[in-house]
Amino acid sequence: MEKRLDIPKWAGAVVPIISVVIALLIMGIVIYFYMYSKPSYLKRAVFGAFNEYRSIIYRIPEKSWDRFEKMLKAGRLKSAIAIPKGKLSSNVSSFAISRLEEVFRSTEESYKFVRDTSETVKSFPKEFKELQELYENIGYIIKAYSALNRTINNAKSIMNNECNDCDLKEGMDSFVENLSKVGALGDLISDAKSIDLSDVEGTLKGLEKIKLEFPKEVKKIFLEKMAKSVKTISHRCPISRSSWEDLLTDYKKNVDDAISSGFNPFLFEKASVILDNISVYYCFAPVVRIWNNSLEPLYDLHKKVSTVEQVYSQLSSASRSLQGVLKSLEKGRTFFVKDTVYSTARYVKNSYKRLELDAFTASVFSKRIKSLKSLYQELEDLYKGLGTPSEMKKNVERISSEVKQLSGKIEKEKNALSEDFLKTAEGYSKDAIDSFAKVQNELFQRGSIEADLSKYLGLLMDTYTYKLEEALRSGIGRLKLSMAYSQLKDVSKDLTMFLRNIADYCPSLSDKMKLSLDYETYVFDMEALRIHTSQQIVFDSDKTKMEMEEAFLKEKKITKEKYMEVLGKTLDGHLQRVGAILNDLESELRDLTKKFGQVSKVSWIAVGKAFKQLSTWPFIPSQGLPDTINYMTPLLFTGLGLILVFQMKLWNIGAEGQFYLGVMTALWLSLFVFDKHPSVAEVPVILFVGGLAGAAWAAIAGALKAFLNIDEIVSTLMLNYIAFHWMEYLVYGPWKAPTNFPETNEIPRQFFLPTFGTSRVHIGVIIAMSLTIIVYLLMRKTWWGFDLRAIGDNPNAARYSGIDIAKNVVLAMAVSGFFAGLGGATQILGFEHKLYHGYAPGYGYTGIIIAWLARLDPWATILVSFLFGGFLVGGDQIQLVLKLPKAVVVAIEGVILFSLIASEVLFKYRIRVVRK
Amino acid sequence: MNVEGLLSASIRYGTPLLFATVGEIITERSGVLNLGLEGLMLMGAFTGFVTAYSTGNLWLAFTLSLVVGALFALIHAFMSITLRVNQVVSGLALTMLGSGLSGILGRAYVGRPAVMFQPVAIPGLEKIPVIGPAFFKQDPLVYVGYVLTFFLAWFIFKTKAGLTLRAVGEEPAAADARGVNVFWVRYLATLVGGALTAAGGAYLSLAATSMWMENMSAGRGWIAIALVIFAAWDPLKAMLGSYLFGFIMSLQFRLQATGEVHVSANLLLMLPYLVTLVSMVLFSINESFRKRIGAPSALGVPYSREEKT
Repeated sequence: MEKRLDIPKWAGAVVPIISVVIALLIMGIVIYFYMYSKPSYLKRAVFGAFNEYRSIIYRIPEKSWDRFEKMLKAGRLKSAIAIPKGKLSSNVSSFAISRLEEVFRSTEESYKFVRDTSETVKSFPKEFKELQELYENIGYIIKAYSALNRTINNAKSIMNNECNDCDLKEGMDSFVENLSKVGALGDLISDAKSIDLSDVEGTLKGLEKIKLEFPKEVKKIFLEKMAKSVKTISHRCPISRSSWEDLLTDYKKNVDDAISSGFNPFLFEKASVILDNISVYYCFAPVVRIWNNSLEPLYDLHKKVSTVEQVYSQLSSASRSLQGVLKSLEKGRTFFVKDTVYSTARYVKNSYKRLELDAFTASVFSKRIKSLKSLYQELEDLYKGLGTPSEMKKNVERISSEVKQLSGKIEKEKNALSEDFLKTAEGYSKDAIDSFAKVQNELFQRGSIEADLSKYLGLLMDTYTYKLEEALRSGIGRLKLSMAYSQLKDVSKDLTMFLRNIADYCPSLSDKMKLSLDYETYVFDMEALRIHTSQQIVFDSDKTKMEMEEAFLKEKKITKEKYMEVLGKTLDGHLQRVGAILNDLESELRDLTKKFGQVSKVSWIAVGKAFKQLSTWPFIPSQGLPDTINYMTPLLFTGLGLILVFQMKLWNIGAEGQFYLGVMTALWLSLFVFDKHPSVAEVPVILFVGGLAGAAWAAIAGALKAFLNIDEIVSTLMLNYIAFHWMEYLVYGPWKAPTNFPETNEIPRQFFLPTFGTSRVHIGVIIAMSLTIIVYLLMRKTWWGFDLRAIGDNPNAARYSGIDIAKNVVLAMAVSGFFAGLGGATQILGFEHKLYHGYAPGYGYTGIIIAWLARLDPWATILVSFLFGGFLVGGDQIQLVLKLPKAVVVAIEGVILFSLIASEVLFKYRIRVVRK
Repeated sequence: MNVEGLLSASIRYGTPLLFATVGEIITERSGVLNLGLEGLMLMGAFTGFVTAYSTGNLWLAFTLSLVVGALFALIHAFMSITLRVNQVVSGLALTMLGSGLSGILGRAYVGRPAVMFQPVAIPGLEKIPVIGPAFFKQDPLVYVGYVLTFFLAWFIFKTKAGLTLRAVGEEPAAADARGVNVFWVRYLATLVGGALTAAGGAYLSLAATSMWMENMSAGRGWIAIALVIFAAWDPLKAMLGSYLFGFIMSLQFRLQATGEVHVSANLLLMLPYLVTLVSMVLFSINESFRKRIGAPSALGVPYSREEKT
């Protein structure tokens, strides 16, 4: 039995809804993948924190802390620590104090050493060495290769009787020698050695064989290795845009400060440390080759700054040591004078040698080098004339005056150096700032670098975890307290920011916010510990104080042993605390790494957010509703005009251009015609004439269609572009306001369309709505509307029934253009108030979609343009909130449009389910 | 002004237009109007660039962009041939989808350098003064364009298959009655047209430049639509028109660059569109010319066996 089920016609309305849902689903997936591939907010935060951790680990001076620990274990150092709260000063033995001082000096030294070494070497010692080796080896290979070539040529010459004194042996020797330096090409060497040099023909054959196989060998052995090393280095170099920007500001500030304070070496040092940090990123270059050019001058500058810095400190030392000589002579001591003068001379020599070494400083400081050289000569003369200590005692006055004179000269040189430097420093800083700006620019243009970086993040995390484990295994001793203090402070700051950033996306993490507070307490602890220890570094061998302290202990009835024990416990407690901090940092970072792995989840949350924004924001009065209405108004204007022509199957794509004509006319009238005595009464005139201009523009295409049968799709399209470029011409040329921007002046306030109360919504929407009624009446209640439909449905029948098609085509196009032009004029008077370059809102093209989706129904046009306006506002909003590119919204529009027009088909037919 | 350079640049500017225009000619000859050229070109440019960037193989990149162009055109074909929806709206949607999708997917690739086609001189021909260096010292895709144009002109006007194609565009009912599968022909024509259009886009990212930018086709798709009419659906005239447009474009750049002639850049940019419009008017006024051109009668009209008139 056959059973028929007719689905009623209203069911057809369900189809577009379903298709929109499908389109939104597709949009969700697109957003998901976008967010998944670009979780920049997470990445930036993790990068910031990671960089800090990394710098802690890398800057720890190992040696000094090992010693510190050893002393601690030996129980000696306990005595170096006093009771806090400052009631007692140090009572410890001078021995312990000197040991403590040593520890700190070696700490400082190792720190300086580590800083001065290139950061690349520091971070990747193994890889760097490997690379260096490879470069050398390749150099040898190149040498060997050219020697071999020479030998081959010689052999050929001998065979051709062109050369009698060509020496094969010489070339072969240097070939073998160079190869053996590489050491990895044994077979090749033995091959070369086995060649019989007396048999020229055989030699040539053998040589050719070696020559042919040579590149293969090189590739196999070296290139692989090299690629590996470079890869390791480049993979491990972290960089993030924010850290660059921070570096930029820091560096600029320091250089500026240094210059304004007049050569302050300390500030330059700080700047050079920052530059050093930048040079770390140098090794990232294989990934972002383009930065090289920008970084080169920076690296150069860093070298210059540090050279001058070194020379300056050398001269300071020289000056100090001569001061020491003077003091000794005053007290009548002559024993160390000779040695000190000698070392002073050495300092000065080092200074000019250092300056000569660098071509740049050699040229800038050529005067200084010259006078430093003569100074050195004078010091040498002084040294020679000193004689034995007893002789010196006789000539104290002469020597003193000479030393004084020399010391003054050194001071003068020092100042001259700083002045010379200051003169060039301004140029340097400008260079540096320029290159920074370049790099920064590059960064802004290359947002995609972040995508690159995300790839390396996993690797970086692994590296970090490894380093941290290493640090923990070696006990807690690997931290320099004061350094760690400041680093930890930064980490805590970063961590707080990081947690705040991701709390939005990972609700489960928000309780971790509490943890960042814990870090702040650690920071305080660290500071206490730092102050505590640094107080004890004061070199103090005052006996009476020690006696006083012993008396104090006696009075309090504390034995010295007990006191030491307490001190030891205090220190141990602090150190344990530091260890705990490290432990915590590690576990926290592990946690964060895990969270980072949950980007997927975060992305889904972002999708949810996007939908929420899209569906609610545009329709809430306090949020996006005013914008939605303002977007809707021009869409309604263009859409209304288009349904008129579309129903006569006239494909006017030109609403965009007609809209521009309205825009231009409204501006022209309000800026150049009615500008003398602007009054509200002229507003309707402006709007009407704007509409007429649109009508005229559309009528061109209409006339071309009606009389020359030129396809209206193409002619309107061309007219759009012509109108756009015309508008651009006006904005750039005759109408340009006297500002720096290609834009026109604002129209007089009298012409602004009134708004509803204090909102942004202007009354254009009322005009558009009332036009809807007119369009409805025109289309459904007049003969003309009937004629238009008749032409659209069957032009031949229309012609036979006496309808003038040509006239109607032009007229319909003109009316359609009038609406678009009116929309443009309204947009200027109500919303934009002025025109700026690149004004292409696309309301005309969107109007086509509106008209089609409204199925050429005037009432539906209101609804569709409202929803579409909401969609555009929601699109803007998710762009803002989720940092999605505009392209996403455009693509979604396309998908929605496709699903809607596909569902059209189902309107045409009734769905009938037939069951048998 | 360097005439050789100007001509050579005209060819380079004209070639992407040529690919897109001959592609659209094939599509329109079968009676399908595809306004989505802009989206197709962008997808072609994007696919070409990404393939070239990741594999370094230029010909693979070119081929893949053909495939992606065909797949994209398949959407339009399904919409307009099978579902018989409005082809104007479908084309617009295709443009949106193409520019949006290429914009999203291509974000990671903006500003990266890749390999590009290098000019190859044709021995012998390149020695011809003026014309030689301009026409025969170009990248391989330009030569592909030459060959393609002459092949298509022969195909459309001299072969049986070309006749079938034209018949489907003019009188689908009659063709159907003769046993031609109208749907199949239209599908095929749309796919081939889409592939060629995408090739025009690929030219932009593989030969004209070696990089990818969002919306890098910059309205060329729309110009190609105008060129189809300018060329009266004839591939040979399309070649002429494309290179003429290329000439105007390069002339405009040169005038701007030399600064000898003080013409507003915007007015110059307006020129190609104005020329199209005026030439359309001129061609239409001439009665004999108008008879010869004429769009395929069934252009933009979906064919349905049920609704025979």
